[in-house]
Amino acid sequence: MEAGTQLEPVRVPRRHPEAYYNISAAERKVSLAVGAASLAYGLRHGGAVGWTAGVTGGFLTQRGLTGHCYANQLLGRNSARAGDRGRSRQGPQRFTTQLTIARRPDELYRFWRDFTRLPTFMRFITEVRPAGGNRTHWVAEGPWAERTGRLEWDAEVTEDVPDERIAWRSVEGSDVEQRGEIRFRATARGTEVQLDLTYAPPAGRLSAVLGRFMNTLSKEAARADLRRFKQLMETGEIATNATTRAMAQGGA
Amino acid sequence: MKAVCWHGAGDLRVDSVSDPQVINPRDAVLKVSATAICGSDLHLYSGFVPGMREGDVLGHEFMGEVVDTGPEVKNLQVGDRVVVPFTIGCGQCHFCERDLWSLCDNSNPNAGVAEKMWGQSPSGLFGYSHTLGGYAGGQAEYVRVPYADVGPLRVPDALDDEQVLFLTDIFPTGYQAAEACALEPGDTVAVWGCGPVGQFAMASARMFGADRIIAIDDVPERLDMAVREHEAEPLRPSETGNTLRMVEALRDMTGGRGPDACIDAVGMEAHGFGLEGWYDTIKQSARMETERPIALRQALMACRKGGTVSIPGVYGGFADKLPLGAMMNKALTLKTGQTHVHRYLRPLLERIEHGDLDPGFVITHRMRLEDAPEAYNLFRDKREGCIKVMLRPESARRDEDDLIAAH
Repeated sequence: MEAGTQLEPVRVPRRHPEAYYNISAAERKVSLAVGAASLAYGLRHGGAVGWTAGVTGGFLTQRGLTGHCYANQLLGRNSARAGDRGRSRQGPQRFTTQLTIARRPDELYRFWRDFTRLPTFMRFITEVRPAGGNRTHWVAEGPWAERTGRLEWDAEVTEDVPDERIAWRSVEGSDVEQRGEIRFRATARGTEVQLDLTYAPPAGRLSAVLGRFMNTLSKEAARADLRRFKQLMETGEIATNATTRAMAQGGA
Repeated sequence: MKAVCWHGAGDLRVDSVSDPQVINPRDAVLKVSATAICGSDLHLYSGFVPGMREGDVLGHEFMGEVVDTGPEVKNLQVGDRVVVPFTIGCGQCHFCERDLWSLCDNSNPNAGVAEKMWGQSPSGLFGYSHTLGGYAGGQAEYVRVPYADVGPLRVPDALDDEQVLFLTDIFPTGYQAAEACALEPGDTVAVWGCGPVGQFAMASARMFGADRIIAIDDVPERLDMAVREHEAEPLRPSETGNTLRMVEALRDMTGGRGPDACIDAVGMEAHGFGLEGWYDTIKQSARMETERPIALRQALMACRKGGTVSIPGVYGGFADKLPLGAMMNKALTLKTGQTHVHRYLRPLLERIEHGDLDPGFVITHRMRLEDAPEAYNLFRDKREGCIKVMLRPESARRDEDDLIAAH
């Protein structure tokens, strides 16, 4: 390549493990306790009874440790509830995270206020386009979307205090109920930025595709989005360990 | 291109991989002319550093010629000959702006993983696990260098590769370790480990005016080098014995006070003696601790009251039986960290140009990049008097031959 060629921006990585948690937190604890006890019994006693106890105990222990049950998977049973570490979440999910960015609040505010730029650093948000007035149209695509289609919604700005905060929320009839807020606070160490994201099934109804989408959400994921915003604002680019442009585009 | 790839503990191969490209606007791509194996690469080779994946390209000490630059790299031209700091710094975050380059906020794309392990993430490093960024290293024919507008330093043609290559890591690393000791006239410095970093720590301690240097190691040629190059006084752990005996020996060599400053240039794979040695070997092998912190234990126990323990040696996770009581009750100062290489590049290049030090003295082996697996074994097993291996890709050697032929 010639030096100085125009470059495509690095794509935010979109790979994520399949969500597979299907046991509630309480059930996991019981599984683990009973499993460990029978495993210990099995290992000490041997014989037909011991072997049975050992194998059952091993299965229960594994189930408790991982939060995933193959039997549940086969039976289509799922006892995981909102807030359980393993997810398959039914209720609203809210994530709040903070980073300090070495730029002035007004610079950060101005960049964020143009929502069409969010896809450059927000994982799974592939497009945000103006939809008239203070509305924007959002498109989310990820590993869940290949078979089941993308999620789309319109959002409107609900609060806009220049250089301090922006809040937005999805409008009625969206695929997902989404609320967000970004706050900027100048300190002696730079601008403290707080990102607050909430996702919920519209009217509490969880479709399969939305369930899979919700399973990809986490505080870590929100933090990673905010970190890429920081990288972009401080260095003008998003850090990548890719070695080729194809790798960077593929999000490897 | 050819590159040295990690395939698991004790399994390195020279593979053919895709040539790196400029991806971000501040990137450059180098054609590597010389690279070296670092003692810390051996921790990867032994499989004690978490976050390695099959196929990872190793190498964080390298230099070469710029063959491509992104649109934002205005300070480098294609054809420039540069050395590259092994710590990757963006130059624009809170830490880089304060010259704390190895703490860069932005260069680790896997910062979330590092935050889980250490609370906060340091900078990314070349070829040093996915926890520290997952960047491909420079034991290869080509390498992608991010933030090339603030990292690489052009080196004068008058200095050859062997003289400037170690600006990338071990010279600044030893220098930072010695600087951290805040030496005063009359001070005695004890250095655990006479590998390349130990050697540069001793050389730098002399620059900072150390009165006496005690070199601790069991490998004869390394001790000899310490005595020859830095007029150090040798001390062999195999002759003194366990930690308590080592403390006694050091006290007896320093008028009953203990060394004023202690430098641990060994890190996570120290060799212990007797019960202590077995304890750490077994616990580390069972992954019940990630370190064998024998050198650090000895340094903390031996250091004089109010002294400084400086740790350039690499640690990754959790260590057992550290004498916290010695640290607290003797009011010790601990200084450590990956090296802020960018901070030292220019001043140390000036030292080399000035003739204060020729860093090439540590090189014992010059080999082809293609022979890296054998070179790693020589270095790990300390065979054939191996202290430092410099590798050159066959393609870089051909360039050089052409150049010589052309003259």
